[in-house]
Amino acid sequence: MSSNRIRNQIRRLRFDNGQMTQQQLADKAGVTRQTIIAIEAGKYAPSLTLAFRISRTFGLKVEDVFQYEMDQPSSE
Amino acid sequence: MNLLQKRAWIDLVKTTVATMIAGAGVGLAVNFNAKGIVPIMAFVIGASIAGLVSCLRSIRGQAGLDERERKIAVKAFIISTHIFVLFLCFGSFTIFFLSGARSYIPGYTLPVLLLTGIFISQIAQSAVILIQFAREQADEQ
Repeated sequence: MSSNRIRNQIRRLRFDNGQMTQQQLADKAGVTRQTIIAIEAGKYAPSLTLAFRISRTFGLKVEDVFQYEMDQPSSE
Repeated sequence: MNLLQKRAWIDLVKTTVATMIAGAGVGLAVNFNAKGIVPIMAFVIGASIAGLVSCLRSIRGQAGLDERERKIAVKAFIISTHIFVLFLCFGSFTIFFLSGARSYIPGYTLPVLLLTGIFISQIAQSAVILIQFAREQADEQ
């Protein structure tokens, strides 16, 4: 059975954008700092709306911030 | 401590107090052997007001949460609802089989069962929320 994962570049983008803190990004995206932490750690997949808001904060497209990868299905 | 965690603690305290007050009410009703249309109407009016206030509070309460917190709150509610139903099932049939299929049980058994179920489900709901956030904080450190 294959599994899906969403990776993101948020941590790197925060540092590239004037050392933005998690709290600052959270305020701009309209969520809590804990949500940003969970997204960065890959423990929470944001909704489409939130993904767009985060991407717009960095002035980038969604696919530049979030990448969708599908693991190879295991052999049966 | 974020908004959802605070609400989990506050809801736990509120439910405990409300359960104690309701339990005292049941105790008084048992003591005075309350029966008839007047106690029924009093209960219906009181329970309707409490239910309406609780429902409106739940709806308004969602407004201050972000999407992840809302998902956690919904997950906690689903788990607590399942626990409530399971408790009622086990409680009902335990009483049924312990007392015997053709026996009689005191009238206060049903309200006590219901109040206990509500109390346990609220504990479960608050616990799910608080444990979820405690695990995240542990992962952060």
